[in-house]
Amino acid sequence: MAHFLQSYLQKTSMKHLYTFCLLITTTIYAQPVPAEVENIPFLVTFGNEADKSWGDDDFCQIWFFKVPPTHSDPFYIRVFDPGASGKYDERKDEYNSRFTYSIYGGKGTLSPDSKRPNPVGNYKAGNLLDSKTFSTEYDDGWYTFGPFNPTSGFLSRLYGGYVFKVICEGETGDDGNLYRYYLSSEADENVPVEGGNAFCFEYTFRLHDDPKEVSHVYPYIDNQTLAIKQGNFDWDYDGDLKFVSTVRMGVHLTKSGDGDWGKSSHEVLEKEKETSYDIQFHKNPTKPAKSNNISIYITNQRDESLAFYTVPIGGVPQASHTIKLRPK
Amino acid sequence: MSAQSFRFNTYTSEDGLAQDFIYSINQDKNGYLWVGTGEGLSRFDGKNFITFTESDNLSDNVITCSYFSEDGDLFLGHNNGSLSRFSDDKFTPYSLSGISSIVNDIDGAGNDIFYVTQNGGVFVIDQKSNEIRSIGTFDGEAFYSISAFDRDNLIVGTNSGLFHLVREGNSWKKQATLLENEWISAIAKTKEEGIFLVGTKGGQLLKTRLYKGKIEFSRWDGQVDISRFSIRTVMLDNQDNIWLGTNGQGVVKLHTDTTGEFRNEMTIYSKESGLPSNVIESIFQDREGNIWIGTFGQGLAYLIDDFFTFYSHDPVIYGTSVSSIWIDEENKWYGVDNGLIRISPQLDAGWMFYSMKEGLPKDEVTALVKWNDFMFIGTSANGAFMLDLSTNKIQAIRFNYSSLENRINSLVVRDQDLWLATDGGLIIYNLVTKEHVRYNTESGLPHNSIQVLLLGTDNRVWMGTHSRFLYSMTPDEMEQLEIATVGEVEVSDIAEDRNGDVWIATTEKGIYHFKDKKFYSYSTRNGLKSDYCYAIEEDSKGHIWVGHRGALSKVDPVTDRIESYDHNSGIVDQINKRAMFTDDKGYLWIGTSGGGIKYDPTKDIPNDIPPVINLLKIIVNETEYSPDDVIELPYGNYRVEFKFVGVSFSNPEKVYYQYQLIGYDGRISDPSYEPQVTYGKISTGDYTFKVSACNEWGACSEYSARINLTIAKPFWQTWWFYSLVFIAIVIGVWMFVRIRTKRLIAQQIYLEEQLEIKTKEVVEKAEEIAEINKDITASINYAERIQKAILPKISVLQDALPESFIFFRPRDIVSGDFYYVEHIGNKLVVACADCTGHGVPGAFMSMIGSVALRNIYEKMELTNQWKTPEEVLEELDREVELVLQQQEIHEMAPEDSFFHSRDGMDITVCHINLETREVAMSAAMRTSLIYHDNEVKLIPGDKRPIGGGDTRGVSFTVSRYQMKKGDALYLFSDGYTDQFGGEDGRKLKLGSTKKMIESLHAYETLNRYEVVEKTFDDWKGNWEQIDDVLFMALLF
Repeated sequence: MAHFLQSYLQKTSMKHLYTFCLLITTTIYAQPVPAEVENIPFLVTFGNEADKSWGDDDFCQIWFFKVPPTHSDPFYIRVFDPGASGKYDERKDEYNSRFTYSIYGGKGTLSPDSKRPNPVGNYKAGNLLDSKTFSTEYDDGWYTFGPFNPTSGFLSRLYGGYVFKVICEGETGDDGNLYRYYLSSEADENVPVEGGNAFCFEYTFRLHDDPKEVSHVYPYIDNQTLAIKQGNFDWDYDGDLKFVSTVRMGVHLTKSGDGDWGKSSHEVLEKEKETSYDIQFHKNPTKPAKSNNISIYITNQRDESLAFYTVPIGGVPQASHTIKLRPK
Repeated sequence: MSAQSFRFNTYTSEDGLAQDFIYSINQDKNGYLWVGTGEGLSRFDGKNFITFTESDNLSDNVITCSYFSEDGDLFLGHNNGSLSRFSDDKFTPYSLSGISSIVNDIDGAGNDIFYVTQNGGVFVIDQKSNEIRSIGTFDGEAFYSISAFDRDNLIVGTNSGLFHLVREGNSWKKQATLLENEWISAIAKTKEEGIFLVGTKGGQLLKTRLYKGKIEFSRWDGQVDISRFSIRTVMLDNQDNIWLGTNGQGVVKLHTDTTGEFRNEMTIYSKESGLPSNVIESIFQDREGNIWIGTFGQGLAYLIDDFFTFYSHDPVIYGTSVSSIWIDEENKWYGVDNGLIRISPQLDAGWMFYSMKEGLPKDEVTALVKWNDFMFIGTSANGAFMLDLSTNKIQAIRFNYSSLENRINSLVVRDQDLWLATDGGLIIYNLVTKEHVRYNTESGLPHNSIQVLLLGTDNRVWMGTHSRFLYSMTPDEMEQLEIATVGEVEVSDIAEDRNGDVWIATTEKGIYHFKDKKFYSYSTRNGLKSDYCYAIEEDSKGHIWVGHRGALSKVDPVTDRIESYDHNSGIVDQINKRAMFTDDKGYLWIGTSGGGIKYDPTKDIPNDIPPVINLLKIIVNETEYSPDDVIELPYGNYRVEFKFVGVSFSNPEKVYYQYQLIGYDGRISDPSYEPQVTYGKISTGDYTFKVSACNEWGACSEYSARINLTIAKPFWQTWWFYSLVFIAIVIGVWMFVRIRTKRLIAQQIYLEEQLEIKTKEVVEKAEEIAEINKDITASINYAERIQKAILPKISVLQDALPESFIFFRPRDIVSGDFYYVEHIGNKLVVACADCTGHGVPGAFMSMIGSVALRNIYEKMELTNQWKTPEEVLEELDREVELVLQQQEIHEMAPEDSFFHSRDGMDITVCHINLETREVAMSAAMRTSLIYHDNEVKLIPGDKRPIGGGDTRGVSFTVSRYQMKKGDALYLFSDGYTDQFGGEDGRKLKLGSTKKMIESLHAYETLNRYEVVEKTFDDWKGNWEQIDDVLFMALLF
């Protein structure tokens, strides 16, 4: 069986590559951020006194959570290890950093400034629903924001539900804060909100140290996108950066070094529209960078940011329904 | 290790129950449950309790037992030795002086109600006489139970055996004592008449019967030991299972098998398995088959859906969740949060937990598949493992990939390949060669995260992933099937049914049935409990089960009917992805976040017993009526509210109603869950309200509750009022006719009198007028003579022109037309005049014209100054204006000239030289006709009248014609050509006159005068002559 499938896949990957394109959907539960299938250990935000070469270009990270209109019960946004201390976070000398998490809903949640890679302008627009500053509290534990009424979010037809914005900012200090989110229907445990989702426009995260681990992020290519420009920060030339699309098996991205940006532009093929790119982060198998953090964003030809979904969404290419295989 | 638990709904005093100590449970014909407690009697309709106490005339608040007699009356035993009877909605107390010991049991036969008091012995109530009398104690010490074979044979349970009592005349004797020294605590009837079950405090269960006047009994011979149970109550359900209520050991259910025998299956319901108390006073099965358990101090317990059995385990050691299940003949395998649980009689302890000590990491076991002597185990983060059942050793299956590949979602074995669905792709591992291959997006797979694999009966592997495609893989072919053309789906589980059809559970899009190469969708619109589906499996009856968060849906593929089960059935936890398994015995096993559930399809029988519908009350405006009342209301508009209840305990929340107020509603209502309906404005009419109740399976009450309601008509809609009105109308009409006739007659008489008077006046006036008229006519006639005298003789004309003639017909006696003929020298003067008006005024004008014209010619003759015709007309005009004083008109204002005479005439004047036959003629406003050269022509006159004071700026002209013999000149007034007549009342006109003249000359022999006259008369016919007529023919 293995042989048949292997030959089949080899054959189809050469001749019918489009047949097995990246099929993506909105319906996967993506309440953990980073999502489990992204294989990303943590989000990371540094205190605003840190050196940018440590991996965070702006000491701020903005995430958006979507709650479906059918969900009428209260929900919660939980943060794992929200401060900087203890076993997970990246310490620079003594822990001295403070991080503020702010949750916004209502009109302004999806303001244009909040969708840009850099936190400038009116990126905090919207109704501030809750906010809390952490330093060393809740190490290796969860803090729960909420409960929230789904209708206090911003009802977006484009994103298919009520959207809430969560901003994590490094207020003081120079430590790296490693944390995760979870969109939960329960306050004291992680129970997914059925139909929930999450997305961001600049993704800053910690990579595995193990070179076998490949992380993935999934920018969505809408039908207006003709070309993309990617920017990755502080990759430290640690292995390979590439994306897999519905019709291309591996397009290499310009890599960044220590504390600088690597940028490259790529044409979008017609069949790649309304699908997601699977951007893969392959570490150097022989000399993997340790505790490496990276920021990445994608813009289109109009310099508009494209969203990273914690699960891939997008259209499904037309495919041949039956593929005859060679007998073994 | 793994505890079995059941779901009970428990009703306590917080729910409205009188007290939590339950002694008796019974059900009446209306479906109400009657619950006897230590503080009163509660009646339950499925939603609400109503409590009755001593204030309602109960003999005592402590109800120890109850019994419904054959005629439906409820007898209640009390703690103080008395009884109460509930009949016709009221309580009647019964007591016997000197008896104060607790009533322990009641039974009846015919009209006799038998009961025992603990220390007082046996008693009987004659229902006819309501007399209570003691039967006796028969050397018994304490009496606990009683049942009647018939009116003459009783068995009585005591603390020292079972007494058989026989009636002998008016007294009773103890026929026999059986089971001596046994404490008989309970006697229960069975479906077979004369056969009873007897339970003892010492754990004995017996079946007794009356045979040839003697009691026979057989002891419990089941293979399970029940001797450890202290029986307090016994009940045989409608499936012949025996239920034992015990003192401190809960409830024991002895299952009957298909042969009706009790073998080796027994279920114990206790506090440990969910029952609120282990001390049970009563067990009751209602008409729908539901089991009710009366506990001692913990309320009334209702056993929910015993086709679900719930299992849980120690959450600290194992975790709460069951993520994967595998059941085979010898083993039950549960993949839990922290490892793998195996339950097997082959194991010494009966069970085993595989975790780190056995080589399995402390991790959630997400997938299980058994192949030969191996159990393959998938974990959520640590990859796959292989348990060798022959050695009970676990070995890891290692792959050198990333952590995503260690996240195992599903496992199948086909041939010698182990297929692993992981978040990092599909891995196929050859169990013989130990080789493996990984397939992910870089290999061309649609997504790295493979959610589920299923090995179909035709050796086909079905694969579901994060896409809207389903994949089917035979050894030779891989097929990609598009589940939905629009939108996205995420396949979460796949199942195959007995027909080989594939069922797909998706998150957010419901489920799909893949049949005959087509996908059929089921969603909440079809009745699915939720569109978020996590597990799917077919049960042994062919139903498709779908797992949701806190609910299950059961799809019947034949009827497409979908039933759902939620917290009401005890389903409260998340059904885990892919965690369903149907074993070889037909049980469906379900893994949830709170443990495991076993579903027994053989017990899941639709409830085809409909609710009992009860009409509770009718509220008309502010007044309440009972259903037994006759509701007849006077005329008016009423707000009518009907309240009712359908008593069904299986799922009272799902009882729905359909009703109709006949006479108001055109049809039966749509189903409604509201147990009431209000009609805002009901007026005159006869109405019948009917309502039926249906349970969630659609079983509806056969007979609807009905009540009649009559609202009287207003007096003006009654027959007598109609009659009165009719009579009044008849009388009114008669009176009207009579009065009117009388008035008409009087009026007629008056009119006749008046007519007579007026006629007389008229006659007198007529006579007077006739006299006047006679005088006038005489005057006019005389005037005619004068006029005729003035007019020249026609012979003057005919002397000169012998064939000429004059047709002269005044409209009245005298004429406004006149003619003038004068022979002067060799000239013949002829004038034809038409004066304004006719009759007397015309005659005056003709007189003026005639005299003036005569004066002109006499003057000409005297002066010998001959004037031409136009000069004659000018002179005539001056003369007329002079006579009538019309010269001043030109200088008058219009308002003054209006009253001044504008009379005059139209006239044609001809001068005929008789020698030369030359004709000179002038005409004022008159047209003439001339026959000349065999042709009739018009000779139009000048557009200026004679007289009237206005020349109109026109001078008279003269026309000259040289006539020959045979020629003719026709002069006429407009009275001839303007005469109305003919067939349609038109004017004769010049055209017709011209044609007539042409005919005159065409036929020389005609009498021309007669033709002219006849033409006029024929044309006029019966029409009135409108003007004077003058027609002069001058024939040369």
